[in-house]
Amino acid sequence: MNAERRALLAETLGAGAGSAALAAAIAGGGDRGAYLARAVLTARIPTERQVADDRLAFLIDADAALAAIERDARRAPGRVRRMPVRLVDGIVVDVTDSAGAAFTSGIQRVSRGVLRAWAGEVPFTPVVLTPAGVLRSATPEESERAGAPRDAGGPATALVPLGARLFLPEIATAEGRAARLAAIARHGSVESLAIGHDCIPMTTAESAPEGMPAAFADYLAGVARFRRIAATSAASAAEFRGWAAMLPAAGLTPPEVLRVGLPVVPIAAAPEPEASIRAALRLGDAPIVLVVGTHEPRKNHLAVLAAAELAWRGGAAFSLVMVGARSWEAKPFDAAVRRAERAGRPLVVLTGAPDSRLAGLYRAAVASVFVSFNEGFGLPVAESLAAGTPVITADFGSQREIGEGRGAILVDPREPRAIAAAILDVLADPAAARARVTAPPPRGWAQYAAELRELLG
Amino acid sequence: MSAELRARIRAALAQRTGVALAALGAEPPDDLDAALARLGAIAAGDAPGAAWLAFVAFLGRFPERPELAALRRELLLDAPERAFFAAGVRLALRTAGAARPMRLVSDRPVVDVGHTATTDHNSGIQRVVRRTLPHWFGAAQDEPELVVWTPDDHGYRATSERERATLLSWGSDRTGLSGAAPEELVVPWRTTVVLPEVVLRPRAAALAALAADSGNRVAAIGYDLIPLVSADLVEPVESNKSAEYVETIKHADVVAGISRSAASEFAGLVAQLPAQGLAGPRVVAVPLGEEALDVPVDDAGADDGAPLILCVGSTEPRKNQTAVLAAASILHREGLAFRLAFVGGGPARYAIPFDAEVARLAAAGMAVESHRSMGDRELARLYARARCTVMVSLHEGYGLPVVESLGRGVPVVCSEHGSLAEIAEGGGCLTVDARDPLAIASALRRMIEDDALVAALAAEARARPPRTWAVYAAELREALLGDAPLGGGLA
Repeated sequence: MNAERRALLAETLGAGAGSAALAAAIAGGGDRGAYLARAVLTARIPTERQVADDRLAFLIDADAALAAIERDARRAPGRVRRMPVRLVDGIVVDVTDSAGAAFTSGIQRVSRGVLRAWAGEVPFTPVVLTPAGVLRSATPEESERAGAPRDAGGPATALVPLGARLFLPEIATAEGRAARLAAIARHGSVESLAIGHDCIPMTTAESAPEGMPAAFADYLAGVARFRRIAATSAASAAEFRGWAAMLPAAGLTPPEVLRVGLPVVPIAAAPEPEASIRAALRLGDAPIVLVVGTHEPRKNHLAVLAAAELAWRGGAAFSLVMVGARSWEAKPFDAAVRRAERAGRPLVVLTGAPDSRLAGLYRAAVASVFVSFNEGFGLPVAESLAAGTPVITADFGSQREIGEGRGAILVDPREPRAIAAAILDVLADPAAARARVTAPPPRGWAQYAAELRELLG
Repeated sequence: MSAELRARIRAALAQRTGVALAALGAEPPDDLDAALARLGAIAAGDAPGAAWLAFVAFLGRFPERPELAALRRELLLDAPERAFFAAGVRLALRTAGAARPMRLVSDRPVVDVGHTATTDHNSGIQRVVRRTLPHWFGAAQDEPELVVWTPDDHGYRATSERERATLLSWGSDRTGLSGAAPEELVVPWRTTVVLPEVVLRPRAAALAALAADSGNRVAAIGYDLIPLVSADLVEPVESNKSAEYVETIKHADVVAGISRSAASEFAGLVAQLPAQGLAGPRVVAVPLGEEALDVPVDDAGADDGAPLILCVGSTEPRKNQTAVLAAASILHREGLAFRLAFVGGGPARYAIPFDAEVARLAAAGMAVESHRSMGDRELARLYARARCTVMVSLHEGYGLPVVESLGRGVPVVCSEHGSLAEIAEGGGCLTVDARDPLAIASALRRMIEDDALVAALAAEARARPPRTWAVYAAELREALLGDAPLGGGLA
């Protein structure tokens, strides 16, 4: 048996290291005792259910329960068996996704933005939760990818939070991840905070890939054990509050849900000049209508394409530029694009664009269209208005919240005719539409990150 | 395809188109192509439900939402003939499922009993439906239209004699009853559709469209959203199903939760919906009936052994039986004399290790047993001998075993939260923090040691005011149909 781990556990529980004394101390330590026993002895963070099961096992037969945990520790792969274990407190940030991914999703952009703003100001430990359940410090490379300073990373040590301040900026849907974070939040933390991006896979399952709702429900069951959720918009806060209101039915005290609005900052890159974009995309002289969003059903691109077709038939002259990565269920979108191309419509579809081109497109466009069925924040609405460009957007939720009163044109996203009418209106008098636009009040990363830091106590 | 089938499909298309046009207030032309064109033109407009009804008429089946949106886009962009083609009409007209004529129902509520009327299972939801719906028939009330799904899940059809009896006369002899049903789609139109069951795939997608786009009012019993709230306690497949259930429920007009706790879950869902531009259903709580199963106890038998604690329910993490086992082992170590019996099924991955633990403790001298299959009579005998029952489930929509126990005058130790706490308000229960095994042990200790307490709780249980299924059925009807405009259609 790993004597160092056993000594660490005994010291933490204030018990002797002999088996009987240790087992009795764990049994007397309640849920926290069970959490520490498995986390320290196996170098893996238990799930919240494992903690509950272990606690019951210690009540039934403490010696047998300790023996079972030590057996699990011995059966772990050699790498995990040999890992040093240490307790960690202070701010612990789970950056598992953003430490691993080279690509950038909206979620990761938020996570990195916060950590960059904290760098040098707020000490924190970036951590990665492996599929096996080991919570290890991020390597210097991972730390850097996650937006944290290189030197925030550390050697490969298994960490066991105790008295920590847990921060989850990502959506943790990998199997077991949220359930382990729940155990940390409940038994290893004095404060815990998650950024609440949205509840879309739960409330809008028809727009989520097969299997996603269950993974997302696991994530929600995990953050149900957190102290606070910082929702990115009023719409997202309403979604999380509705979910939180369900938790007493399960005997749980819901997290406090606060609205901490995301930063609204112009795209950092210098905008590519309009002439250069027009030449590169062979756009000619017609006004540009811009659509930004991944190709997936929730973004409602099929209605936008139908609306554009109605507007073209109505005699409007404009080029439609759609920028978005391919996501899932893109076939109907591809078919609609082919149909428009066969009809000779001026349509350009880009699966990606550098920030400078995106910034240039926002600035050059006569209007943008973003009519999603559900958004936690709706960044393209803010980006368009920040560029001074009118946006046609959905008349509810975060899209309305960001756009209303700032020159956005609000429409029912299920009505292609309404979207078409809005496009025709803007084209009829672009200057007037642009004059109605006011940019959302600027809100920087520093302010957002400081508000989150405040919530960690 | 035979010429005969082709002719039947064509005749059915003509019939459905004619029925739809008449329902939409248009004169059906004699010529089929002209009729289709006219229906297409109406469907492209704003009349509520027109596109949904047109789809049903064109294809002979209920649409899913993306299909319906696609048809509407086609109708906006193309002449109806092309739009029909794009919507798959030509393809549909080659399948036998398109040969059904349709009948609209507008003068009475339509009740979807697709599962309960066609199964011989009788647990949970089926029991609720079978104990409730018979009270909606007979006497001086308008009978609802009972429907089940066509074998190809294209839409509703009328029930057969046997299906009707399976629903309304459960327990009666059904041999000799006809299983035949008319080959005709039953299409609710400007009426109320009642969903007394949980909505499941493959029907969930069609029901979502019916609730959102058909112009009908949809009224549902709301069982629970446990798999979305407590995903840590259920299998992932259940969470996915629950998310599909939500797709329909969020477009419903009224939901009657089976407890205040269940209603609070649906109310929470409603609070989430403005983010997607929906108002959501009105949510009310109509707690289920409380009558215990009427199983005669032939011989409770003399029983002078140690006090019996009974725990009924399938073994799974959500039901928290291991906490009962842990609490009991504490009491056993303290030297208390009692017997503990678990009764219920459960998935093998939970039942097998649980039974192994029970066997280990039994071998070590604790009087504990686990029964995996037990008839109603034998269970009734156990209830008759039990000192108390225990149900410390972590999350329930209702909690039938608690009601069952109280109905027999047997006190209950149950969870102090959610639907179980609600039932406990009526008397006869000790409530505990279900996540605290020491608290469960304390409550069981009191039940074992304190004769006066047990007698008082048993008296409370017997004194609970009755809540019959007839009362539940009447309250449910009022909640779901009370203010429903019927017969005259929607304004």
